[in-house]
Amino acid sequence: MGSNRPGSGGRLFLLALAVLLWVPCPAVFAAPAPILTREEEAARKADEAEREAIIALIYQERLLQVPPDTFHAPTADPKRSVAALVEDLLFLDLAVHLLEQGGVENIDRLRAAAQTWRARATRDAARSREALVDRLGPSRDELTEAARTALSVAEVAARGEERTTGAVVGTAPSGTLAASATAPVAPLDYIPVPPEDLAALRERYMASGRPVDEAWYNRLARDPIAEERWKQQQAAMEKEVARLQTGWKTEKGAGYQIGVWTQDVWQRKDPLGLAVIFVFLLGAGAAGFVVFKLIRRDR
Amino acid sequence: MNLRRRLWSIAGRCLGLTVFACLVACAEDPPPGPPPGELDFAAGQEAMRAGQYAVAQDLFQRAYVRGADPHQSLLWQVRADLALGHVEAARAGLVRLLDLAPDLTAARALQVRLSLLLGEYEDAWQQRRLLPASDPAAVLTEAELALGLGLGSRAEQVARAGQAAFPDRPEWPFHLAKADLLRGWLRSARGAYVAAAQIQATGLGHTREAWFFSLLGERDRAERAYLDAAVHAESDALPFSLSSDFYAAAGRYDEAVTDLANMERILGRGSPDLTRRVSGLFVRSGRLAEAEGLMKPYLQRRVEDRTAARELALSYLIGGKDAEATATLEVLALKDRDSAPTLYLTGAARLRTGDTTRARTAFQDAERRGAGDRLPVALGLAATALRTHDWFDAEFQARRRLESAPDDWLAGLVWAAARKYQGQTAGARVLLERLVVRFPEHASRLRSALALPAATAGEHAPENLPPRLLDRYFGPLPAAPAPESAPAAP
Repeated sequence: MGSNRPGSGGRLFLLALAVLLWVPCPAVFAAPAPILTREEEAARKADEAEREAIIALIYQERLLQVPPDTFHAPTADPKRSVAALVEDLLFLDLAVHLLEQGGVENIDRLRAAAQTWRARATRDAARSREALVDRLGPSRDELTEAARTALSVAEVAARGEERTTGAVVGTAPSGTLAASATAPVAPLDYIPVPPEDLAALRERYMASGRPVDEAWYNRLARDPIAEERWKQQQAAMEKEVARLQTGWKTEKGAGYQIGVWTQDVWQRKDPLGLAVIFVFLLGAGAAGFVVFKLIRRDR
Repeated sequence: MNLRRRLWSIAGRCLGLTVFACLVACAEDPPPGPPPGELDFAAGQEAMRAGQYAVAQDLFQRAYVRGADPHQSLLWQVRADLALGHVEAARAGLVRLLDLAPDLTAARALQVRLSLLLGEYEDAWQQRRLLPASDPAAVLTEAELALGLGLGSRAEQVARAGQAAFPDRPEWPFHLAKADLLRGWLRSARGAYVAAAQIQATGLGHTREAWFFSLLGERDRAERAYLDAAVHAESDALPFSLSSDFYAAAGRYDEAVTDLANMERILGRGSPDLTRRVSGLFVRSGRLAEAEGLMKPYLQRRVEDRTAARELALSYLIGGKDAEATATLEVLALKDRDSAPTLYLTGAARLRTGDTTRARTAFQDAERRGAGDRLPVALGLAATALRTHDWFDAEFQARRRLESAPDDWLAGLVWAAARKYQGQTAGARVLLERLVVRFPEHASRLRSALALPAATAGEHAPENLPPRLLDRYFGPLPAAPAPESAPAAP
């Protein structure tokens, strides 16, 4: 309604003008760069150089120090719970068992895959673990144990409890177990290992190991099996690309292939192919002419 | 005449039929030697032993098609999948195999173990019921299941029963030690691990011991166990691989390379990852030309190995070849856009080339994908903030870095610099002094990196840097020596 009244257009125009002016306002009305004296300019440049030196230091000494990509280098974390530690220990047992028949030397991929999987399904795993504990119906002592496994390794180490008996909590299913449950067990501690100097052992190992020399390096740089496989893959890929480019189909007959090839040559205007087609047509014409003449002569 | 011709015709046909029958009989006879499928199967096993898992997978597939034992072919295909890290493919293969042969104990045990490995205890429990009770794998799985659930006593019961029934399995003493650990007897578990490894004296036994001690952070003991494992490893390459990673994580790259060389001696041409691992170690020990010499032909053959491409980019960055590094990383970031280390390196390269805004984006993306645990992303962000004159953010990031890495003196330096550029010279001076006390070995570098004007007479530390806050980041100041008591006046 207001737009029909005289003068409203003028107000709209003013409003639009205000909006238009408001948008570039900071750029238009920004304070101009301060005019620095020579000393201030030198100080600014010195600060800039100082900052760049710090950034270069960070770049060289920290950002480029990327640790090697070792998935299965275990890390010591005293805050990790005992249950998590046992899970890590079980990982090696399981991986050894899974892979021992294949003679596999590295388990990093398996561990990475397992870690990814576990990270995705942590909540489900925890839920299933709780459900399973419920279903197994553990005794009260076992439940206490299960609660104790949530303690961190450092806390467990700080408790410093000794194992003085082999008492097994719960009901023993067989007579032997019941007998062993009451038998005292001597506390196990470090079994004394031969006091061999670690450095000497390391030196001997390094000396007995395979020399990492130029010949080894050159042999490693050339991997004949992988190269052969790569060549086969390249050849297969080139064949496939050629097949896709020309549209040839291996399951079709020779006539179809010739037709596709002719069409392809004609569309690409390939001079060699066109010359072959021309010679073929010429030869076919000449042969036809000869046959025609022979037939005529027979008559 | 007609009769003779007819007789000749009949004789010729008979002769033709005889020749045809002979041909058919010959064709039906199998060629001498084993059938082709079995040859493929044996070749696949050899390839597995040599670490050529992809080749082995192809061979087992071909063996399946060409008439080898289908169950064994599928089972070994699953094992090759596992070796390649394709866990989901392996699970699918196992389900297919168990549909065909529900009574195949090896496959069933593998399925249970795989569920355990992935932390799916409920599934493992259900699948374990289908295993025959007389099978050692069933008992072992039950013990491991109890260990995984955190029920130490039950695990000990099962393990003792299993040890009595199947004494030749090497796992029992280690499982008993784990049961001790679950019940809070750390000393006992430690002793049991050492004892089991010493008694068995096998490469894998010592490897288990080394793994245990490196998880506890006892480096010397772990190294000793790895050396023992290397001595006792006969045809097993796993100890060398783990030992190499142990040394690499400790920054001892020459020993790590020696381990890999020993591993390659056992495996022959061996692992597909060997070249990448060796060149990664070369990059970190400063042998850049050799690393690039290994990596380039390797990457021509295995374009899909993005980790190797990343290592090559890192080698370029360390060698100062910024243009090559940026080109490699820009291409890599397109294919590997969810990889935190790639994004982190991209950020570093962009920071180097002066593209600060995009460097910041890359660092932020890397952090979002979890790179902050292993890599100093916060310092990268602090560096970008310093360049964009965002002093508050620089301080924030530096303090974040100090929270996660209290020994990082560079983060402290950034904090002090941010204070200086905010105009709080007194605060910067306080921080710098605390840094010098905390890191005396870097004192000269700290002082030369940040120039501060001389202190004025009435200057005092700002209120937003209370001593309690400084103590939290740099630890309490060492106690001043007690002033000697004044000699009593004569």
